[in-house]
Amino acid sequence: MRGVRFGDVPRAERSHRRGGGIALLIAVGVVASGLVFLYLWQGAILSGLRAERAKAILALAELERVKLDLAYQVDRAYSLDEIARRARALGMVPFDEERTRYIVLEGGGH
Amino acid sequence: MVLGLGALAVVGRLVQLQVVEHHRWSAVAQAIQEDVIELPARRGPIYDRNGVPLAYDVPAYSIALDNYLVTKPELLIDLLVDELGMPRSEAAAKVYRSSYFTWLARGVDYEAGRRVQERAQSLGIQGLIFFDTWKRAYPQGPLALAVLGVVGVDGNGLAGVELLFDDLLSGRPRRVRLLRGPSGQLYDLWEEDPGAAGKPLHLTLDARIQWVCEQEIARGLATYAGADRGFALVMDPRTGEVLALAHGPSPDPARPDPELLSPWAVTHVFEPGSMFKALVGLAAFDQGLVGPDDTFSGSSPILVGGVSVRNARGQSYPTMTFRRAMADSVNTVLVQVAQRLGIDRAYDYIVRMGFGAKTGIELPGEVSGIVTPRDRWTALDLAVASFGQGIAVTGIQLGAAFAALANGGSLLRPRLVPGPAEVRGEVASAAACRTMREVLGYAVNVGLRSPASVPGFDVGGKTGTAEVALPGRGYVADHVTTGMAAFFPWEDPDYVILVVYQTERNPEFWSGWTAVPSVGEIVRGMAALGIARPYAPTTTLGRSG
Repeated sequence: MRGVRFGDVPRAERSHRRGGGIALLIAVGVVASGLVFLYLWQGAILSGLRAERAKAILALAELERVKLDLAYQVDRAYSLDEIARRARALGMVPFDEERTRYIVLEGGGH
Repeated sequence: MVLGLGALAVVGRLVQLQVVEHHRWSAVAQAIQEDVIELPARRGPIYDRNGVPLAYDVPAYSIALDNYLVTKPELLIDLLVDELGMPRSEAAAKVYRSSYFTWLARGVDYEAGRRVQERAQSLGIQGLIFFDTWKRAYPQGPLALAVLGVVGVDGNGLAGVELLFDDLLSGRPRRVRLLRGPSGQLYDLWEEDPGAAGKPLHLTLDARIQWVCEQEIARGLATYAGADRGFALVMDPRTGEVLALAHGPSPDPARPDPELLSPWAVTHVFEPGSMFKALVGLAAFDQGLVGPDDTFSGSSPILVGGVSVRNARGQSYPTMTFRRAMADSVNTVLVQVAQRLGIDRAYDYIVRMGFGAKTGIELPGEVSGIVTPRDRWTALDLAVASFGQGIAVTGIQLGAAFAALANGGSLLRPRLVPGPAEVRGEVASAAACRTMREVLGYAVNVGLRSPASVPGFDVGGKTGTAEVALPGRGYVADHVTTGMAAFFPWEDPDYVILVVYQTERNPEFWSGWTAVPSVGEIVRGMAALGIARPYAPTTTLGRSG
């Protein structure tokens, strides 16, 4: 007579449990792989964005330099020296009492 | 079993590489992947009193060459000649040098540097190394360059306020670390040290007045026969602020001549000549020894300690008032005035007016001037000092003394950096100063109607012409200093102007033909730019209705 020990699980049930364990393992594996994939994927995206940010920072620094160079050219163009030079080129001359002719208008004033 | 051993070996090696030798391999990787760049700090800008920029840093490139990596050297030489204007021989010498590092050019303009970079790339020239850097730029051209000074290629102040305020203007460089891939592509960048730009410096100069003065000094040097150098100083007598300090000839900011960079109104001395008579007269007024209408003999020469003292050109004058003697600049009258003062009082006033001591203006290299020690003064020293000989002053000392005359007697520290007025002492009473200003107003406007007289502006002032004494040669006829110290309006002056010229080749170099018209032109220029307004509202710019 086969005795039935307390705690024994029938074979079908044992097989069912083993199948459940494998499924759980696969599920954990899938989740873990998914997380690893997500980590790597996001990490790669982050690295790409970091690289873009670094390029943008360098480009910004370069644009700052261009801006400063242009600001200098504007300041230079508005300097008194430059304005005087351009005025002379346009035929303007500094006020000169000796070369000034006054027109006497009727009624007396210049 | 075999697999297990293999796996163990791999794991062991990994532990060795990543744990035991971590620091070593990390350093190797860092050296390959990471790059630290140090961006030089932008030096602080310098502004005038109204915020007009006088000097600031603009982007530039420093270009170097790795001579062992260079390709197409002949094309590179052409490029350097074309874009940087480098002589071909110099370019060839640099390109064919055997070195890992050769500076090709430093402080290259931003646009020129970009062009070199682009052309080198398109021509396939390799081996060039470009450094981002800064270059000092002068948006107003050479304006006030003798005051501003210059900076060297490494961004250090070498002269002028650039040198004196180097700590303030210098900043701290920015350090950036770059992470690169094997082919040089950029992965990341982070700032190790944000650095700090230099702090700005504001000066008391007014760029417009400075420009007027520089234009006038340049015109004077081009016009007055034999004029070798000159300066014009404009001060606010109420605060001691220097509004303009123009020197000529003007240096070229691209290649400044160190000789021309020296602000000689501060660093060199000259004998003030007859300009000093105004200060001797002020001392006599202050002591109540002389009044403007007191009369004196104008005969020349007079004997002092057995030595003949003469008027200019040996001219004698009839008995004249002190006022007229100032207008005609009669030496012998001022000798009599100085004799009334006596050596002790004259010396005391000279010291109180700041002669023989540095003024403390914010410029490097200031000198004290030369005043003979009191115990060595003789009657002759007193006599010649009365018309500004035997004493050597700096332009800034003379300007400060005339500012005291203009503001009612307070000797102020001349300053280039804004701040509250610093009184160094009282030189004379307000009443004595006003009387002397009226006498000098008469000298310019009524007595001589000199070219410094600009209707509507009530200019007052004193001229001076002095031969220059050279070591071992004494006074030399063709070495002459001319000047005019002026102020306007004389009743309550807003401005003090000092103009000085020097020649080393013209014995007929007189203040009346040089410094005096320059003072008039500076007043007119200030009026034309709307800085100074006519004192009398019925006249404008020398024209009357």
